Amino acid sequence: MFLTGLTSTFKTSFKPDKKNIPDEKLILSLADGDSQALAELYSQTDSAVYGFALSILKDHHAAEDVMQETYLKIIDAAPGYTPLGKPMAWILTIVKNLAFMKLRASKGELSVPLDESFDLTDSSDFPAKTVDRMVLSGVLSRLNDEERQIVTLFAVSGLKHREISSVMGIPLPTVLSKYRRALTKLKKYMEEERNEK
Amino acid sequence: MKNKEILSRLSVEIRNATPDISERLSLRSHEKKTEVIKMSKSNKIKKWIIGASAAAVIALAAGIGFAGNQYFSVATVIGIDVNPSIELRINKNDTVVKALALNSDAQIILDEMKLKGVDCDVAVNALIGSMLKHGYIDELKNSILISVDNPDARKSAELEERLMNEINSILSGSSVEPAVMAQSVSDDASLKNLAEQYGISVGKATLIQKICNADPTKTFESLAGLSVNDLYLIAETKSISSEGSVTQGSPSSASYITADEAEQAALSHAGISASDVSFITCELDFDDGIMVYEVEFISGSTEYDYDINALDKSVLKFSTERADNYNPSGSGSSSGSSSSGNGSSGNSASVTEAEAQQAAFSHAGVSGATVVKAEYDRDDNKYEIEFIAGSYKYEYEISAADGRVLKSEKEAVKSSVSSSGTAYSVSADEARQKALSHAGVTDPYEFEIDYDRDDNKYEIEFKSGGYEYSYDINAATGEIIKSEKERDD
Repeated sequence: MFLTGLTSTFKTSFKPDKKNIPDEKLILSLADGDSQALAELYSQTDSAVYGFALSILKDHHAAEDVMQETYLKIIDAAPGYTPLGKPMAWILTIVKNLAFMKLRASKGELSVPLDESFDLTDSSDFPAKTVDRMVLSGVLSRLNDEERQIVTLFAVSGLKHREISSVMGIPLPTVLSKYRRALTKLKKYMEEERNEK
Repeated sequence: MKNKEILSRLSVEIRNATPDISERLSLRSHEKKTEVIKMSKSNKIKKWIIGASAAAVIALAAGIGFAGNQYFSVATVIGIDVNPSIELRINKNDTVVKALALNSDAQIILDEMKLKGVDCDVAVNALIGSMLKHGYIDELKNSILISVDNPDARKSAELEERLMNEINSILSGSSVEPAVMAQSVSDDASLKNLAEQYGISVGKATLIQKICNADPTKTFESLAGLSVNDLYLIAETKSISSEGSVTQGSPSSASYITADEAEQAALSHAGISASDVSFITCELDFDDGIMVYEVEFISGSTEYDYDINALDKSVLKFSTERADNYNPSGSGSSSGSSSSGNGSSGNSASVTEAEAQQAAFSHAGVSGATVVKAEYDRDDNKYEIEFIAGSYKYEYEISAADGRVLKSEKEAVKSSVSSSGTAYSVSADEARQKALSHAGVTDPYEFEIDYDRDDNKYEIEFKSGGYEYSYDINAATGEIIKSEKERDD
């Protein structure tokens, strides 16, 4: 495959779409009580927030809860936000803290077998239409916790490896090796799935 | 399927799976606004202190009310050290009786608020919030030391845990990932004297004492001026026993250069490339009033010892010494110790061991190496020489009669670098540069770089000018292990 005119970036050739880079000014406007700012921030970050929460919790309902708590927390914390040019890292740190809090609080409850906690075919569990979920199901079924979180962050957040390393508190070399391993596992999974069909 | 495709598919799939909660959110945020009025006092303070004017804290604290004289007796002393050092004296109901500023930074924080009569959780919450607002806590200085002095160990532990949670909860909304260390301090008169003498809190004095105990070369005086973050960093590198203390998070070292950078600085000062180094350690420490990296490495038969300024990479100190006894393979004898029996048989060695070594080195194209074995074989009148240079082990047999190379072997060794934990001394950026300059490419696109921890190498792929390039670069030495170039179709 060949994308014409795609200039290289050092970290990767994969370009997350623009929607994923939230505008820092929105957080500042939010602090000033601008309710329109929340709607906009939400539309720029919802899939990153949900995706990261899902990658930690492996449970759609729990991830949805954390998603909601995250935006409430953002409203609360916006006045204390220091503009450092890293709004996504800031938001995802909130997601991480809330998701891990939830994971700890419901220790045992959420750790039901994956098939039960996350039925990809159940439309109530996953408000899906007929869209293919092959990669996501591979991510949820084949990867270990850190691999799943890293690869999801990479796909949805637009953060660089280094930023992912700092959000997750994992050394950069580990992030890089887990990222690589995760993709290798996913490739294998995709091939197997394809052969089955 | 390429990595890129997998990632973009995943991105699309997650986007499709993301529930729409926008409606619920605008409802909830509306509800929340009305809720504020009903909030408990603790929440109220928390809400206000982040970003809100400090005057509000004064008003609220006054409003909460002050209980009365019977509460005056101090049951517990809580020390909070960030850089501001504050001491809270609380009574048995955990209400603040007195708040003391132990340094001038603390004065700035305390000037703004009146904590007397306030619940200690609320007070800690307000103090941390204010420190955050004043920039005493940020990504670079994320360490908070909580010290609890109460004769009842159970009560101390309970308070430690409570305050730790309180701090985490207030900082969870900020971009700061706190490193909190909570410790119990004993009622030790000599420690209290020391604390007083240097104008620091008993908690900080306790931490310094622990470092001094672990490293006798440190003096209390030299450490007294350090920030809690630096002390915590040093305590971590010395693996100070966490006895009597609870820790959470890691202190930020972001204001310092990385260990990699320190290693690079030392190597470039020594004029040695990473590939000629067989062993390297790098540790953050505090020496003569500054934070330094102590970098040690061996190249050839020389051991280098560097102190690199952790702030600006400058070389503060260096020394070299012969590393005769360094023996990374764990077998064989050390350099030169076993050449004996020269000339006692019919054979005679007209080539000295040093000459034989030199012949092997020049054949291998190395200028210096760590000799792990040098033996004279009387029967065959030859020298058997084994040495390590860069990430290779060489085995040579050199004729003792005329210095000819009789046999040579070269194999890659697992460098001892990888076992010391600081596996990669080549940065991803350097690996990228290496690959690009090898390929003679300046305008790559679809550039991908992965790090393979198992083999400690970088895997690099990129395209340019109608070709697809693929490189493997050794992450310890920067050596190109594999290079491929094929037409891109």
